[in-house]
Amino acid sequence: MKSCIKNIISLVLVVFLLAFTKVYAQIEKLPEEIQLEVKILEKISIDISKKDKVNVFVLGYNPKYLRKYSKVFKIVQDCSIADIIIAKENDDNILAQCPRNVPGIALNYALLKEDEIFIGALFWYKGRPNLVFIKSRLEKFRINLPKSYSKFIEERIW
Amino acid sequence: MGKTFKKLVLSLLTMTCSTQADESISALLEKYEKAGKLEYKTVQEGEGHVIVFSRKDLDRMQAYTLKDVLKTIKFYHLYSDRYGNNIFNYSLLFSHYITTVRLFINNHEVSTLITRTPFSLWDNIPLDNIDHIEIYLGESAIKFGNEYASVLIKLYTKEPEKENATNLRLTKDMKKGYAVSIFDARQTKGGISYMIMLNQSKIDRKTLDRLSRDKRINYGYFQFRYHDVLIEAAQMKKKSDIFLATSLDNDLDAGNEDAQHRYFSISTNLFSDKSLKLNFSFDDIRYRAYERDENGVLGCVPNSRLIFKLSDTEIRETSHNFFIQKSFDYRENNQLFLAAIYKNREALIDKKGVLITNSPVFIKNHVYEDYLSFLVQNETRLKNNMFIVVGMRYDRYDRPSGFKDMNGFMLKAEIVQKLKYDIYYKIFGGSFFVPTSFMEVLNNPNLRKQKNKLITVELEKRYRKSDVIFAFGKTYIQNGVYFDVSSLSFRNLDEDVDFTFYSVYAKFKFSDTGKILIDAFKIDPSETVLPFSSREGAGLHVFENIGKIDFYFGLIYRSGFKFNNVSIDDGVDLTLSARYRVNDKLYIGIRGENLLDKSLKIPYVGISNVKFYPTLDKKIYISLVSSF
Repeated sequence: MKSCIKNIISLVLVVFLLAFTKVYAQIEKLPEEIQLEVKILEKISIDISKKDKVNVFVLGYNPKYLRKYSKVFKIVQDCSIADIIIAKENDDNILAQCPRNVPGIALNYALLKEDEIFIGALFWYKGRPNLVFIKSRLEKFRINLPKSYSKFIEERIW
Repeated sequence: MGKTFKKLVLSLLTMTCSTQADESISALLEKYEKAGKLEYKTVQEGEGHVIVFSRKDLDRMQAYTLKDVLKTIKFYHLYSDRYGNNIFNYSLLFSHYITTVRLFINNHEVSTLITRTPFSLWDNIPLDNIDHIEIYLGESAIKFGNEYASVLIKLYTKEPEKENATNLRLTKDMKKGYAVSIFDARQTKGGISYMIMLNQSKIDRKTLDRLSRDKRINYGYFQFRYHDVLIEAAQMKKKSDIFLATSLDNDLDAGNEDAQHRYFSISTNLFSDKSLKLNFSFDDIRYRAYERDENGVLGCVPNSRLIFKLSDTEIRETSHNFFIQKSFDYRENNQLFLAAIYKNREALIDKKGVLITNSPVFIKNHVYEDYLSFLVQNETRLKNNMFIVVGMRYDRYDRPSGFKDMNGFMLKAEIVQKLKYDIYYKIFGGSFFVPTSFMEVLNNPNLRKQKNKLITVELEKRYRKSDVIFAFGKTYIQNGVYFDVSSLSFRNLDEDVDFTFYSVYAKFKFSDTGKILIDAFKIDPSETVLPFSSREGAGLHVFENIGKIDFYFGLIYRSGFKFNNVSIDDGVDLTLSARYRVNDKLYIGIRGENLLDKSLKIPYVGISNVKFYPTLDKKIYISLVSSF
């Protein structure tokens, strides 16, 4: 009986924690890691758009990161005026409403597979960051990346 | 020192990337990978001398179980206890029973109440889903929600959001041993990620004088992460042959052991600065040991000094654990930690047996423990590159089941400073107490808690590609607890004991992918009232990658000693490992351990004899690791 009461108290505590934590759920990564992540996205976006200031439409990625660590990105709410799309998730299929001439960078390999709007992806696999661009999609968007990207360009999706 | 260094490295990484506009994408990715390493977030060098085994190290060593790592640690040696479990013991001692090593998987400590050790079940925990291992030597680790620890081992699981893969490993040794591990870890939508890991292993050991210590292990681990909430559940199940167990003549007629540990843990960090940490966990442990010997056994828990010829012991333990920690940043460069731990634990011991006099015996013990602990620790970074840590903890053990309550304070102070020419020093001092375990007080209710005082000094010089550390220290022990074979009971030493220890450690990076680690240590006890084991030891570890092959060379030396007028030879354990990358998704590896078949032998003391057996067998393993 005593053990049963303890388990009930524990369960209540767990539910309480789950409910409470959602309110305060915040950045888990170290600031240095996020800063470098934004730097990489910045560099890729500049090299794709050939612009110094890039209009970016963000999906499923915390826009605070871009606001805090980038002077290059300008976040836009309408993907039709964006130079590039950065997406981690595609909830409610928002991408379907975007014009097909705006290239995207996926932060999730599944998205790269799902939607041809993404010309490449930056994602973690087996504890390492991976950067991949799909050759046919770069050609479709008429994007010429600098030579330093050549080792990241692949013929097809795995 | 570590945190300061870590911050320096990370700030250099980011500073460099912001100042070089044309930096290549490859260089940025490399820095991103380094900054994203989990150990940057978890290592707490203010908590003692920490040794970190990174994911890369573990892969190159092909360290697939915890024992593969523990055997390399200076001042310690791996040690097969009387039940065939690999315990991690201070090099000077040959105690078959150690209560002061704490093992954590993420935020959860795995330990039994009766024996106060993780090693009866977790010594061979598979490491496939482990990102890195931190081992805190010395007694200064008090901040992790742990009880007293002479060594604290922290296993951190890989981050599912950085894995996004399924991993399969098949390992086969040259005998009947094997291991199959599979884990899947991924990030899904809406801040959710998960990890599932399953392992089945058979550990086939050499039979010694017809005594077997083979084991079968089934392990399962599940992790669910939702933003900052981490939920974990695990089960470790073991069936094993029982080796010598508690046979008085060191020749057990028959015996076996079944054990199972299940836990559930939930942790979270609250507030925007993540300064409030909460953890709740629940443990359920079941253990059964059967021992039979015509010449007498003590039974796995020697409740009294009775001698059995047949002992069948069942133990059921449950534990509810709460941990809360809040940190406060104040007055630039100061951080204050307040923490509290509460554990409510109970165990039911049901022992049936036949005494050596042929009388049947039934013993039931129901023991309880309420553990409460409060911690205050302050960390200050001064402008002259000085880092000061001062901590105090109050621990209280209430044992209402008729045993003596225990309470006391633990105090620690540490100063670390960076001097000119990349020279660092670290001075640490502390006063601690070691709580008695129920295993001990069931046998001897009058046992007093052991008190330790420790002082260590470290001097470190860093070069561009290398690092050299000299360390020495002194430990004073009052009321030292030991098992007295002649009276078959745990006792306190009448005299105080102290010993001095020295060590040197060097790391040299000889190429972009290669490094050499060298360590050597010596321990000088001032008294000889304790039976002693190795007093000196050394290690040489070489890691390199050539083309598609990862290499590891490990040589571990522990000095021989004399016991009961028998000279034990020096122990040398040679480990070689090579891992070939067939492609990004397939590795084939071969690993040999104790290849010279000269690992240190350990004395096993019986009433009428002493036997000497090595902890490690000479073994060669072949592994295949595939990711998809």
